[in-house]
Amino acid sequence: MELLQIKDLRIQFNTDTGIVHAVNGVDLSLQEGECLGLVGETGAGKTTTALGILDLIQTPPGKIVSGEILYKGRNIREMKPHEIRDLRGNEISMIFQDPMSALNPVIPVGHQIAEVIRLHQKCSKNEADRQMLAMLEKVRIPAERADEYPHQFSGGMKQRVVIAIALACNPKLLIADEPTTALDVTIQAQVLKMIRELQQEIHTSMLLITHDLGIVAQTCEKVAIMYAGEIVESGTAEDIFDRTAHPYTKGLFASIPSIDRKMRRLTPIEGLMPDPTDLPAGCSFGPRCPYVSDLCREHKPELQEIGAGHFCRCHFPSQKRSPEKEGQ
Amino acid sequence: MIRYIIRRLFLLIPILIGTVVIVFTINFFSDISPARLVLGPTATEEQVEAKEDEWGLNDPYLVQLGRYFWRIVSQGSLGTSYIYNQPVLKMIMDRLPNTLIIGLLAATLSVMIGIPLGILAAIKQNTALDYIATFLAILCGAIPPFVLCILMQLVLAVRLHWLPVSGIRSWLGYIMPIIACGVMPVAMTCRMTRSSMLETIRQDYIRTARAKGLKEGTVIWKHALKNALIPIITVVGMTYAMSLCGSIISEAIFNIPGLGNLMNSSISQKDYITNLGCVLVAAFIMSFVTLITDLIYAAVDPRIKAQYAATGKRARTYKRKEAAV
Ligand SMILES: Nc1ncnc2c1ncn2[C@@H]1O[C@H](COP(=O)(O)OP(=O)(O)OP(=O)(O)O)[C@@H](O)[C@H]1O
Ligand SMILES: [Mg+2]
Repeated sequence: MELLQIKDLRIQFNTDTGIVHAVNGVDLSLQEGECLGLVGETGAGKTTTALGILDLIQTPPGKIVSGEILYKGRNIREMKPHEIRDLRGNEISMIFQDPMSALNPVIPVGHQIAEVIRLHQKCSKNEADRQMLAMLEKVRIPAERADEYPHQFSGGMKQRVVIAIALACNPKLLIADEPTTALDVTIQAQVLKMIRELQQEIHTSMLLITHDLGIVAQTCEKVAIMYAGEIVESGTAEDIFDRTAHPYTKGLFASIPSIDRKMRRLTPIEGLMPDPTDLPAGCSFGPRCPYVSDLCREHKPELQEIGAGHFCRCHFPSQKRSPEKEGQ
Repeated sequence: MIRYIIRRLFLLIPILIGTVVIVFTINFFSDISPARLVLGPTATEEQVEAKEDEWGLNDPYLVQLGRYFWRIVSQGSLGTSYIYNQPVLKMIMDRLPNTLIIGLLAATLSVMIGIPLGILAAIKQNTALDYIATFLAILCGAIPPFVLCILMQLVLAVRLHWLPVSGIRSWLGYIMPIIACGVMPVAMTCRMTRSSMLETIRQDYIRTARAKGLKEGTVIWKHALKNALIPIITVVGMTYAMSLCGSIISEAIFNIPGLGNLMNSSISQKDYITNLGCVLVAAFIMSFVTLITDLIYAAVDPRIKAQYAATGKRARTYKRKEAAV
């Protein structure tokens, strides 16, 4: 059975400039023990989707308009507040995008970790402190620094504290929102490896949000590509990397350096993502798509299964496009 | 930390000297003689001259200033009032308790009402409760204190006879002065708390706290309030500093024998030496409360504490930056 299944999730923000359609009918599913990569450029709605799962959207301005978020078959949206609180930090936890601001500046880091342990394991203060120190050791922070405050830590150490908080209660599901973008390249690999190890140690499923396809290739069995609040393509890592079907996914691959393809020049995707307050009537990617047709401009494509477990939201999905179509 | 406190206490000395020099200079160049006022219009020019010589008012500027400081250092005395012929320090000490009681109660009450009201308005943002609290805060901030004093006298004392019109012969007499001094700070504290709290609960670390599964109450009280307090401390510190120095207006209207009233009458009676003493004491209270405010900052915010311990010099600019954020 799926650990997490999201069906037709829609999230909007009510702002002065209009309604921001941040998430528009997202479907995702994640099996136990699996790692799903959610990829998309900035503003695609990745963080919003993740926050939606934990019911952490600021209301107002945000609002989950419709959809189901099934965790172990139960809809989180219909749970009582105390039931959701029991899940948060315990069964489902999240590593936030920006470690610099994710920690409370006036509370010692050790206490910020111990707090979540004490809350969910209902243990004594001493026991929570003992587990907290063990957790610090796991993320390779010296135990004697537990009483220090976040401003005394480097960015990489703060990120590791955030990871320690997220993993403190051995969650069933870990949502890692760009856990490495705030870090420099050498630490990125380190932190990622550490998350991976800890995740395997406690058999956690992971939703890894990133815009780095390289990280996805190393880490995830399944991939979902997100564009303008929609999943445009999803499937196994092989589906996405070897049988790429959606023009946007192709564009993403063309815009990252690759050793084996020996491309001399990177080709970025032309144009910008559509304004989320004013999405096009047809395909959201249409305005930037090199293969766009009248059908695309008028009718929004549905997510269709083009291979076993391989979904694509395109009127003309294909692994290899015919040259005459490319000319259109 | 101890070293920081000692350094700040030493800093008090130049602040107080500066205050005395400024007020002394202004009084020195005033051309109305207190001797003339004391002796009355019938006194001869010679009598006035003799009185001024007795008080040393005809000595050069520096001699008079030096004498004032020397008297403080050698005798611990602030001189003798020209008008009442009493030691200034004793006159101040007789009146200070009244001012301190009213100031302390007014400031404490305004903090105890303003902060919870501000928090409530923030966590119930854009509800009827928020609008009512904000409206009350604006109203309280908009009424000039003297209008409020007179209105209260008219309604509560003259019309309803609940409270005495003026004076503090019974504890009932303290009520109106306390309200008069507390209304403006309530408004300030409430609005500051609300905006600071709103700012704080939007922060990422509050989302982290919620993501841990903490109850909303714990999130607000444990994670948000301590951060939100940092800018509020400035306002609260100012409230205490100003209230404890006494209000000239309300002490005059309600006829309270306090520091503000003494300062007021010493100005109108050209009792320069008493005036100087009052200003000195007020400056001391102000500086002292500011020091305590800064220490509270350090207790709440570990970043500021680290600053104090490390440099001490840059601490104040850092704090101001924090407050602005
Ligand atoms: N609190 C908010 N108020 C208004 N609009 C918001 C808010 N939060 C997000 N949005 C909008 O929702 C859309 C999706 O934002 P989101 O943060 O989910 O993007 P993202 O995919 O996580 O991007 P990034 O890779 O930069 O983190 C954006 O257009 C953003 O402007
Ligand atoms: Mg994001």
